[in-house]
Amino acid sequence: MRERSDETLMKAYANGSMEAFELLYSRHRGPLYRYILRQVNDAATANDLFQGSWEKIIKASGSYQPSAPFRAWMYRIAHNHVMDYFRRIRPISELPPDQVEADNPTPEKQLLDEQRSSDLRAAVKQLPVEQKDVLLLKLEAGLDLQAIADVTGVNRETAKSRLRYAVGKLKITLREEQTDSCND
Amino acid sequence: MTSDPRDQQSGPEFEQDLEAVRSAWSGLEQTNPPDLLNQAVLNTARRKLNARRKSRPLRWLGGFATATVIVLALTIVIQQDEQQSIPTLKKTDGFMLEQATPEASEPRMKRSAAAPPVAASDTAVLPVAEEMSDSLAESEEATGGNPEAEAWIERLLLLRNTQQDEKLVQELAAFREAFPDYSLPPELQD
Repeated sequence: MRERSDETLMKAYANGSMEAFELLYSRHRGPLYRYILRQVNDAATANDLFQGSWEKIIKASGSYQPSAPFRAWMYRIAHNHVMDYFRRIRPISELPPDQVEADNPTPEKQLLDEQRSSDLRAAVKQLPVEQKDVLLLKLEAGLDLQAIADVTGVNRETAKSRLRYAVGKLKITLREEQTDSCND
Repeated sequence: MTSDPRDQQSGPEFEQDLEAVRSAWSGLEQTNPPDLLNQAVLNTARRKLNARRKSRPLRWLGGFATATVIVLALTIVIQQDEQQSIPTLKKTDGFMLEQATPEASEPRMKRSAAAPPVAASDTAVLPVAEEMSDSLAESEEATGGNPEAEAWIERLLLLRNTQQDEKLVQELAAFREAFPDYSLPPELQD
């Protein structure tokens, strides 16, 4: 059976189908949650922002136009919500420490990947908010540059430049890891 | 959403770097929202749906009332046109009776059947109305499609320019409540 598009599901929810919403939610809850969690680095805050984002999505569902791609629309709402949060808690450098925890960490893999994951997370955490936002929209949401530009309210070139800087910094971290593991 | 060919123009080195980061990223744990949070979101969605269902009859009634008003208005316009055309016909009939020439009346009848006065005025008005609605749609598109939001943003910019930061933060929060998916201008994104 052909998979129903996000846009169709959202429209169906607006017309009264709860099943459509459940399917839509199951598709996007993980990536959207991680997009928020990796930005704020705090599970409790991420929970609040995640719930708040969905409340806004639900509230705006009646005015959603299926001509607009659902994913970009949804991430725009979440992006705005997260940026409002950052604006409220300024300065950003006072954000709480990284408390990200896995739901189901695999014990064998954990030891092996722990250092690498930790370094990568630390590198992402140190990125400026705008670069982190663009990177997460690329890696977690899977949006293309034009959609990222639309979501963040900047032009395509700016989005591209931010992504380039973010990827460049992470690449350096990954290279250092490789060098360290070779030396070991 | 990664099929935009322009995304491939960033250079092979960048693409390789991005791929390396993506690969390392996929090794990170796939954290998901807790079950309680899932339930909370689904309950919110369900509540919203129920509330919408309850308010649906009223919305249907509103649509029905609008349609009724339109039909009534059209009926009145048509009746007025008919009343206006009756005396004209009577005069013509009297004139025709005096002349008593069926050939003379025939072209007049054809003309009135081919181009009734009401239809002629309608066709003159229609293109203007279409043009007006087109230009209205264009102007709405140019301002982001929502004059209310644009006016609000103007007020926010004024608050920012007059450095009323506290009020600005409150107003921004209220704006977000009303327009969650609206992009703010760069000056307000700091």
